[in-house]
Amino acid sequence: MTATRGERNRITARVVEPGARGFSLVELLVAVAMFTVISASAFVLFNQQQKSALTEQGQVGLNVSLRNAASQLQMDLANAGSGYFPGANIPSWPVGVTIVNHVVSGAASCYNAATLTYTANCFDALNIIAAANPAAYPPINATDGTGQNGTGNCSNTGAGIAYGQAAPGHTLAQTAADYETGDQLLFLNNTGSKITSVVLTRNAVVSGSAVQFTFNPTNGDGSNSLANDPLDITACDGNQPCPAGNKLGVQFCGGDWALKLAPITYQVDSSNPADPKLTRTQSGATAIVMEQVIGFKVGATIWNNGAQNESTSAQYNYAASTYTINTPNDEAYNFTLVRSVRISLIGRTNPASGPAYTFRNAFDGGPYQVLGIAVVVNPRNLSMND
Amino acid sequence: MLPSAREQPLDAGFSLLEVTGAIFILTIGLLAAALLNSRMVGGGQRSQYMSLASTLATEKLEDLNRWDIDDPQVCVPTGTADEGSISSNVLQTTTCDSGNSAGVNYYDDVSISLTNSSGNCGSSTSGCLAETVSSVSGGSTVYTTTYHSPDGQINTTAPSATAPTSSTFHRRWVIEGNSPVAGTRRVTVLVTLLDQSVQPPVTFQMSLVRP
Repeated sequence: MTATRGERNRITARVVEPGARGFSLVELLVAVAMFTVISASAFVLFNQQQKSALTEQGQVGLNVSLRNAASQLQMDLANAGSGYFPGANIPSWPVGVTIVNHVVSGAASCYNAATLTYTANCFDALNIIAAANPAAYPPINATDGTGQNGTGNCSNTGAGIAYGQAAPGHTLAQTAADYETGDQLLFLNNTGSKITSVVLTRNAVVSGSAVQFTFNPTNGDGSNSLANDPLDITACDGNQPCPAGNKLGVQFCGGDWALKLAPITYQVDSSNPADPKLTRTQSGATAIVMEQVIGFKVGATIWNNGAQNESTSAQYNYAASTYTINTPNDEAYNFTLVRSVRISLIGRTNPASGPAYTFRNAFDGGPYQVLGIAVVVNPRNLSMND
Repeated sequence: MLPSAREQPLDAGFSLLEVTGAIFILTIGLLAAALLNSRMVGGGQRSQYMSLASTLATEKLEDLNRWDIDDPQVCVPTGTADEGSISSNVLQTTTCDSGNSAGVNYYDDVSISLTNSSGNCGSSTSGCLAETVSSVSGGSTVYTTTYHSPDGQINTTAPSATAPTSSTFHRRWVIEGNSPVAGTRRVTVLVTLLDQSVQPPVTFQMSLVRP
């Protein structure tokens, strides 16, 4: 009788030499233990490496975005105050930047340490003022309502209306078509020493032999409310009455000039306080420059009437209310004094969640890395004849 | 002598030598991975220092660009090739052709760090970002620190003679008159990280030509 398959196998197994009998339980246990120890240590190693790789990635990403934001600011700021000169009489101190400083005192904290959220008062805003391309929008000479441009032919900006000639090489209709609702204009007197600024409330139109600009009336001294002058060229940060100083008043007469401005605004959009974003606005278009910005402060060195030395003029001033020189007709918020701008930018990586992430930074104690950068930019058009 | 693979029975298991060899190779592999990681972290840190150094070089050039052409900070008197040096610290009185004269330091130190310094940060419950810059006052070097707190407060300390300790960058600059052409001057800034543990050393040099 033939053996069953089981019997055959047993027989075969018995025939095999002792060296081929497989693992004993002890051998298996030892092997499993060794494998466990080695793979556990490998896992620990990889876990640590993954953490540090993620940290490094966040840090590098933060560094890159800070650099990009700083480069963008440098490019824009270096050209502040440009485009003024062709035709218009600008003194040695054009308006190149205006700064909205939120000066915080200890009692009014603008960030929430529990939720690590940041609100608008933590951040400054920076307006970079430059004239619109002077080839496309040449300065316009002032006239009265009939188109006369003698020094006695004036319009009254306090009434919300001003008149100008056709731009050189343009017809009246072409000139009017270049000025639309929302455009901000700078009005200068014939020596360039006095200014006011208006925002058009309707498109410019041809009225008789002049171009008519319509805007909200300026104050009697040529200053404006912040609503009528959002760039704060003549609004003293909304502190009224604004000291007279270099204001034009309401008489805009022949020999005076109107310039179209092309401002760029940097501010922090904290509508989502968990992710404040640095934004750049130009001609109505807003782009995000950097996310997770938790500090944006703008300071300026100001022209100090020629008495320059390292210890005084090297100080950067983070409160625009003190932009003043000690001369008659002095005023606060005198942005014509700004010579060099320092921007301090602080960013963070995306906050991590979960108990596994134990890192806490030394800045605000949040579960993310924090990196700060400070750049100084000297606007090329703001340093003349000091 | 060990039997060759062909002679060895198919199910003889691993010898101790084989297991040791395998563990040795595995260890080398793991160590290489760990080394790669630490190199990566070190490289990332160094690139961050480099980027900070280039920012600080630009900052100093922009800062020097602010001065009027007849200011002692940037003038080069007739008969002098250059003022300042990038190979040594120069602190001197410079007198311009126009007669303007002042003590000028052609070097400074900058340090940017996160700190918990409770007396200086705006809030006692959180830290702040500290920027320390040196300048010259009365012929000696002093350090001024600006603290930025999370709540938006900015404090500036009175100038002190104590140098910052952490990750300090040293900046030296030289102003060459009538270079590269007559009527212009070339400003060159050299930024060096003083922390020698970062290798290779972090240095960055940059020039700007101005009137």
